[in-house]
Amino acid sequence: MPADSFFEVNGVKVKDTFAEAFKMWGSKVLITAINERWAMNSARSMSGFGTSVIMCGGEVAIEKVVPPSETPDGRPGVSVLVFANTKKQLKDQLMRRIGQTVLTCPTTAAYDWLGVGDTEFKIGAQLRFFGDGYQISKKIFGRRLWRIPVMEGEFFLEEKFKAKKSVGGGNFLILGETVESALKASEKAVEAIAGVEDAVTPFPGGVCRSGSKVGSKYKFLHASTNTAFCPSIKGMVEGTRVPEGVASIFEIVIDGLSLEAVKEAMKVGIEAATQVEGVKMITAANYGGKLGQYSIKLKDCF
Amino acid sequence: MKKIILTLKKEPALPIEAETITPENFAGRTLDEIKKLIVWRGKRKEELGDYFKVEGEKSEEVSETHIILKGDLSKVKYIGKQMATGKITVKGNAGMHLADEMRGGEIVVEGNVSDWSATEFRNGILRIKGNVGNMFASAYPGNPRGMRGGIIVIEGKAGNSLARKMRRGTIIVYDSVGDNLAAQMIAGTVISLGNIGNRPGMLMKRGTIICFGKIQEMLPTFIYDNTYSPLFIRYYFKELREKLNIRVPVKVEGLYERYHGDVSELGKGEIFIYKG
Repeated sequence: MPADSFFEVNGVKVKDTFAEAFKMWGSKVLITAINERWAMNSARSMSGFGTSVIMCGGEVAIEKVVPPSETPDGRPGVSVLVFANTKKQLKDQLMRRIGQTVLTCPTTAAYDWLGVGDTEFKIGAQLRFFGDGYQISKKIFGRRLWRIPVMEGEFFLEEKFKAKKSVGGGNFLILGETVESALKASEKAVEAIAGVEDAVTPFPGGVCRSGSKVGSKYKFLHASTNTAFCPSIKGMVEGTRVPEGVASIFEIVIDGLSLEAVKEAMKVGIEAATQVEGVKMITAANYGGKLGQYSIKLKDCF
Repeated sequence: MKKIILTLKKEPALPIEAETITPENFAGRTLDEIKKLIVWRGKRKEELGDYFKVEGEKSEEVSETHIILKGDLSKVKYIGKQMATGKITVKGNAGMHLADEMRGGEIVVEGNVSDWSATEFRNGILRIKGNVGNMFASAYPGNPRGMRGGIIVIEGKAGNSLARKMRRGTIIVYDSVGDNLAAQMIAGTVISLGNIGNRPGMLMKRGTIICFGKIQEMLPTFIYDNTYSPLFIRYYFKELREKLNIRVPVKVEGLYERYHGDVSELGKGEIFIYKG
């Protein structure tokens, strides 16, 4: 078996391996509201329970706060990225999430914020039926929008939301001497990735502590804990990949609207994480390159 | 854009019909060929060169053709009829039937425009810096639909029966509007920054009228709903400001009275009156 090779970022060893990523479909939704607080309330609600397609149906996270000068209605906004495995699943996720978390939230409006996509879904065109015949459409500079009367006033949303081919599951692992150091490095990485356009980290706080492997000893389970990276059972697992001196590992999972966005997010994330004391190593999760359509080499990100 | 300049030699004694003045007809033609384009004086067939001095450079692409008309063209009808791309600038007044059934491109008129202009306007941008006459952006008698898309900006006043049978699109009038605005309106939006005359929205089915001034007489078939701040108006004006540099002297995020009607028709039309 060939010895592992490494390169260094900020003096920390980075394994010369690759993250295995997958083809997904992604949309970008802009939520505006009377103030940032309510736009954020809706965005948080919309991105709730949206960590992994495995059980959540979609991977959803807040991209950034959009200032009033840049939003279509001049109010504060928050952009949210939504990803799913197929077009059908993505449309379903947009319908559910906009319908239940934006329509219901005080003073909000929802706009397609992707601009150019590979396909589009009629979301407002279906949610309009909530207006029970009192809904009104407006075509403004080529974009059709719907005004749906609600108890608060009117819910204003775009008829169609675009979607594009995207990349999900870009990742890297932060291996730390302690939980504290690994978590601090993860937080720094997530903060840095927040500045990258078109990329998000959908797990809680952007950090996943429970990376998974494909399969399980149990036949009914398709995925189970990534035993090779579990420090607490290091001595029990043949082929463990937990190095000496590592007590805790976190995974930063990145979804992006393009491969470039995911690579940029991985780069800035690793650069930020490696500046934290106590980080012993950076590596990435993959399945031997057999499952995912993209193999993102960590070295290629730099 | 390649400019072709037409200067009126003298005002015609009778109105002429110059529907050949479009980028489509000018593109690909030499200046001499343009001079020979047909205009009608009553039943007489005459040439454009009889009325205009033609200068400028030949344009091959229709979309790159910019026609500039100079002089008082109050008696020149059908300028830009059915044009679909390119640009026309009228440095003066324009006669009846300007932008008739216009399908795209842009027309800018620096003076006033006569009655029955922008009839059954389909698409494109029309900017009038002066006033417009009656039956502007309306349907021809007997036809089911008037304006069907595009954007019209009138920086002066508009006459009676503006936007009759309007189906889609946006009209914004900086000053006052006459009587019978948007009669039999099917859909679309008309915004008046000034006052509106009698009976706006008569027999309208759907569509929106937004008034920043006063309405002289509301029909009794419009029913008051509420006073609130509709978000779509903010959206509308931000788009107008960013895309057409249209600025209004009021804070559009204020309150508006909403009336729905005409209840003697479908009743899904709406009139918003700005309350500040």
